[in-house]
Amino acid sequence: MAAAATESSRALFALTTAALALPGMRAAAALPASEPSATAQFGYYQESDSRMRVEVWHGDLVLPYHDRFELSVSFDRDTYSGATPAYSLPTAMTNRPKYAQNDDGSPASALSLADVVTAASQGVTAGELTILGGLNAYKEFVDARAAAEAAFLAANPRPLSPPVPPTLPGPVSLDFQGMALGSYAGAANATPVAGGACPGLGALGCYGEDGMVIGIVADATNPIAHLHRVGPAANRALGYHADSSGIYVRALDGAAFNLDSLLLHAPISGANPDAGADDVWEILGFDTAADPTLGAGNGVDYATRVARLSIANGYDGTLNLPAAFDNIRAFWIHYRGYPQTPADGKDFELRLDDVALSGVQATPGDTPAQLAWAAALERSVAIAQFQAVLDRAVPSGDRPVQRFQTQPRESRTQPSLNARWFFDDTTLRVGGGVSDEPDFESSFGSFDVTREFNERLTSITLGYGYTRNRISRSGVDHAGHAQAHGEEHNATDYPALDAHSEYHTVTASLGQVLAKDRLLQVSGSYTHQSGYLSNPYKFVYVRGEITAEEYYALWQAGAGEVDWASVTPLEVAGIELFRERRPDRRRQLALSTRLNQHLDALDASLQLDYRWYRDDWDIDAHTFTVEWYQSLPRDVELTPYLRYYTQSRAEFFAPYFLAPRADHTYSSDYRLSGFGALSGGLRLAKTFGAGLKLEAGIEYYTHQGDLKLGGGGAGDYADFDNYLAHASLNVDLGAAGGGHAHHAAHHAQAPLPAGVMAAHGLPKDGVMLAYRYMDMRQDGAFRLGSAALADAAVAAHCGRSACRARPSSMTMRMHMLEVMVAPTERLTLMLMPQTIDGEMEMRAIPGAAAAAHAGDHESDGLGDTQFGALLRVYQHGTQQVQAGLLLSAPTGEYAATLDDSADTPPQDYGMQRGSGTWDLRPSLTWLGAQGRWFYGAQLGAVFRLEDANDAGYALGDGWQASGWGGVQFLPWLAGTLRIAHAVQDAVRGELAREEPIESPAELPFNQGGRYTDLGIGAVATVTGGAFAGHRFSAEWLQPIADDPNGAQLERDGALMASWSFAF
Amino acid sequence: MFSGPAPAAGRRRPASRVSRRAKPPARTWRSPRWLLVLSLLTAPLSAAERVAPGDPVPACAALDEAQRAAYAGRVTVIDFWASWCPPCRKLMPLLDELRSARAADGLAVVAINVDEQRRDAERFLSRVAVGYPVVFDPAGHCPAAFGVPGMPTTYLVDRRGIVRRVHSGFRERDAQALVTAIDTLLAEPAHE
Amino acid sequence: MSERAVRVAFVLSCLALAACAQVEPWQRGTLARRDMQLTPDPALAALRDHLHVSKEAAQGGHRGLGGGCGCN
Repeated sequence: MAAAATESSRALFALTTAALALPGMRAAAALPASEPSATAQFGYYQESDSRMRVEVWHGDLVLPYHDRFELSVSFDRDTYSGATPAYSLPTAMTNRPKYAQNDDGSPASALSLADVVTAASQGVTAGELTILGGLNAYKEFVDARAAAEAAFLAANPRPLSPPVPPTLPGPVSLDFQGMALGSYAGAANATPVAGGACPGLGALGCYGEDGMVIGIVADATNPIAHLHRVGPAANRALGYHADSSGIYVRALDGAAFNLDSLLLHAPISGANPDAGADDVWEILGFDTAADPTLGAGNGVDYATRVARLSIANGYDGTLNLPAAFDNIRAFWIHYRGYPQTPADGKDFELRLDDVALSGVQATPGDTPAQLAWAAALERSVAIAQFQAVLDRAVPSGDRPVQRFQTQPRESRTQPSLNARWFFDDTTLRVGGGVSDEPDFESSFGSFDVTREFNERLTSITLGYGYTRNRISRSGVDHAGHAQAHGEEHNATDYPALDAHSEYHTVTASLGQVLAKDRLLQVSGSYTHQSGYLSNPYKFVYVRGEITAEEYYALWQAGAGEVDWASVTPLEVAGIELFRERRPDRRRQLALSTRLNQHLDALDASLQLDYRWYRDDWDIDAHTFTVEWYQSLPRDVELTPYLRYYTQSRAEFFAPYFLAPRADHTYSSDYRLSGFGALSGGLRLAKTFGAGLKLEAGIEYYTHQGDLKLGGGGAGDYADFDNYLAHASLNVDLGAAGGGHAHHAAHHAQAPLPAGVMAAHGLPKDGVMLAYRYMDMRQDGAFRLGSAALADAAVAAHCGRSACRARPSSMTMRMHMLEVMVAPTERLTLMLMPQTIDGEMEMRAIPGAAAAAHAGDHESDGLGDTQFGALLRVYQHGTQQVQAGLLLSAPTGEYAATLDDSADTPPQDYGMQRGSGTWDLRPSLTWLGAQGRWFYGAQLGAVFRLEDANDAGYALGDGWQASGWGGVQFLPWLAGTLRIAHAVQDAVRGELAREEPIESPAELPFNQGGRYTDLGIGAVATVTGGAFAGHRFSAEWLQPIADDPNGAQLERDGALMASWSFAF
Repeated sequence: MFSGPAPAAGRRRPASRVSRRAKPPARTWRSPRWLLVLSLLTAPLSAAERVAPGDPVPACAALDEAQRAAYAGRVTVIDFWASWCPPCRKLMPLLDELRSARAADGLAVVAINVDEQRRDAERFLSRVAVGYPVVFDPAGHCPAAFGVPGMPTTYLVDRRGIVRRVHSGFRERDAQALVTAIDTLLAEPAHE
Repeated sequence: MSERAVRVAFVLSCLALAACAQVEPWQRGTLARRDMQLTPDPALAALRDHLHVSKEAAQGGHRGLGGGCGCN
């Protein structure tokens, strides 16, 4: 919850209140608060099922300057964490079987259950939505393939391929019967001339038969290399011997062919004598018809060669060629080692005949029609598969299931200022402030004018307010995410959110006294909101914003091809999941009526309130509130409270959307649903004297769809409960009235250094209020005893394993409120709640393995609460002895984790805000004074009353001795000097943690030690005027001798400051 | 605020405030017409008789003849106050100081408390003690008889028992004027 | 409801109220009580508003002005 604390509206009300509160003023108009007053309030909000929790701090101060002007300042700080609803989806889309992906990215065959909708807190990619563990991994997607394919094939048979003629008209057998000349010297591998023949004519050309060209391979070493006609006229054959570079055969038109077989006559003879290992005929097949460079090569290795067969010399017979010689465009037969005519006198001889060739029946490439058909098949099947997953039938009224996201621990801070001017019958108020949280900055200002008339029985207020908000989104920045995923997966690279909204509000209010015990107020407000009004952390499930066809396109898109804006105007956050989108304008009208009735007989007042609300998002709401203020004896007030709220849903709200909306506005935020809420509470207040009021209360709130007035609410899926506990303290700083003698009495007591607590009691019926602040810093080197440790040496102080990180600085800030009440002359009761803010910077120890949790840690919240009593055991003149006994209740977190969620490791002991045990804090203080000089000494101790807290450890016991002296320089200013020595034992037991120890501060034996400090301070006491009795003090504590247990970060010192006021 | 120089004794005249109220509020307040009509209509139809300068001190239950006689020959401040009224609380210590300082000169103060619960007044007096008499009038007879226009209202009565100043409301800046007015009355002789 | 109708209703209701309103200045002790103020506990009222504005859609009415976020 990061709610609006309508501080300015509060002041508006205070204003109206003041105007009516003093209806008796005839001559003087509304008056400012007669005396300065201050309020401090703490609220704790917790939702059911450990959802959201919020700590709310509020403080304000009202300062009347004179009777025509009043200034008020207020400060609010909320810290919130926990889980919030992110989106909801139909039950039918939850827990669908999905093939889980293995760690290495390969799809596994094992099924697990997963929601179809997935939350991605940052951007997603097209790949993630589909293939990478996305839609394609669902069992329904996989299972749908076969049926979809069958359906497509049944309707769309594959188009037939057109017939293609073979390359050669039929089988060809080269029998060389047509050789007209005795030799042919043409090079068949040379670039063909026009018509496809080889260069040269007649005997200088190639032999041609049946469309084939037969010649030698061009031989630069032998211009007259040639092939021979051999054999009788009845049976010619082609002859090749050692006067040429071999036989080369190709088709005249360069067409492809199969070389099926040939008759190879190469018996060993005188002209063909050798039969060694390298005496081999090489038959090479090529995919290129003519390659003039073959002769220059090694006779075997060519880029164009696709087949090779080596046949030992001496072969004589028909040779069937292997399939590698199918679909070639040329072949070459030569003697191994002689791609050119032998120049070394080598002899060989070959006769070639009956070369059987056949045409290649080419498989034609797919026709355009077939390609289109295949693409259509894939597309149609895939779309059907996507549809099988996405369009899963959702029964009408299927119960929504709510999914949550974790809110990191964050704080909102809101200071504001209000000024009021009081004229005779008119009051003017001007106010403004800012609200700052990590993702939402708001600044607001307002003014209003109240006019009283009709004997001050009637007042009218008119006001105007303006708010401007700047909205961003915390979390990982989008651009970085997109980069990490790379372009190839088509990340949804939306710009980081940087949006604005502004609100204009006009208010009018009429207050009317109806009787001496009855008051009526009627108010109206109209607000015009514009700009970004969505919640950047809420998502919607929308079926159809991305269609199955579009998912297919995303799947198929190449790198950087997806234009997400054209797919959907919404921001895609996951499968079927989008960031919610509300209209950019909202007009709100609210009318309220309040009646206050005092019941004298019961000494009680009844307040009734009804509000009617309507906006142009179609939301109607009614709020009924009843509050009963019952005064009881002893200035106690008991106030029960009951409230009923009901609203109708926004026009664009649904728990989930099964069809897209034309205007693309969607929200599933439960706050825009139809629901009712019933809340009730009780608070108890006690006023001490006239000036101090303490209050505590608790309220319970239940949100239920079924509580909607007239029914028709959102159902029960989003129901939740919460409680709000609060405690507050209001001090009327001027209420002392004639009691100034009291502060004189109290502050006549000698001043104390700011760091000394629980030192002196109050006179009977005295009330004192103090605020204490302490800022303690550790920085610099680690120390072991009095020696400084280098980082490398620090590493040795993590016990069994080496430290990987060390704190580099640590700051603790404590804010403590001290309330003291003295029921008798000797006894003073004390209550001291406090908050602790810690900050620690960690850094990796050089050379150590990377520290998992380096960086800054923070810890802030309520600390332990001390309460108890002081008893004056001795008093003689200015000498007195006080005995104190305080009990410390474990209200502070003692097992805080890095971001307050159970998934992160625990913080160091020093960053815990409480001890987790009940502790006893006895003390004995001696005070004395002489003239302008004052002095004192205090002995204090802390004992842990339990052996260990629930986290498995207990802080060590400790004691402290301190002595001081001071002098009153001026009636209002004193200086103090103090020396303090403290002993703190190491931690007992150990904070349970699953993670390995990384830093020395995580070990129990590196805690505590013996410390000596020198304190120097000043105390200022306001002796007269409106703030008489207020005392301010500050003290700096400088460490002068430290002897820490184990290895610890050096102490820099501490600043203590306090303000106190007694009455 | 003090209503000007003392008028002739014995004559009552309507409080100037009554006629001022009849003026249209539109002069000081830019109201829509309907608002103006509204404010006129909601104004009380009759105003109580108000004690004004020049009037004798009226009799009322809590401040009977005998009590008034006790103050004869002295300049008397009659202060109507209530514990729930902050300016009243501010005025009281001031009146107490003034009375201590001027008692010898013939100044008397009588405070008429109008708290409906007497203990509320007593509780306040226990914290802020005053030396002058406080009369309790929870039923409001006296303020009705005086026609008290607001809280607090102080009536300055001269040595002859004639009301000379009526001051309603109290702001810090009024203190000096009050002292001056008292001193002026103290300087007047008891009999002309 | 038209604006005119709202105005008329407003005027009429005020007239009705005025009829019974004659409370003398010295009779307003009860009205000055803290528990008769329109907002006796401003800090608590702000805290509740805080909660309600962040959990409900309706805003405004007696408390119209202000800033801050209604997130989560």
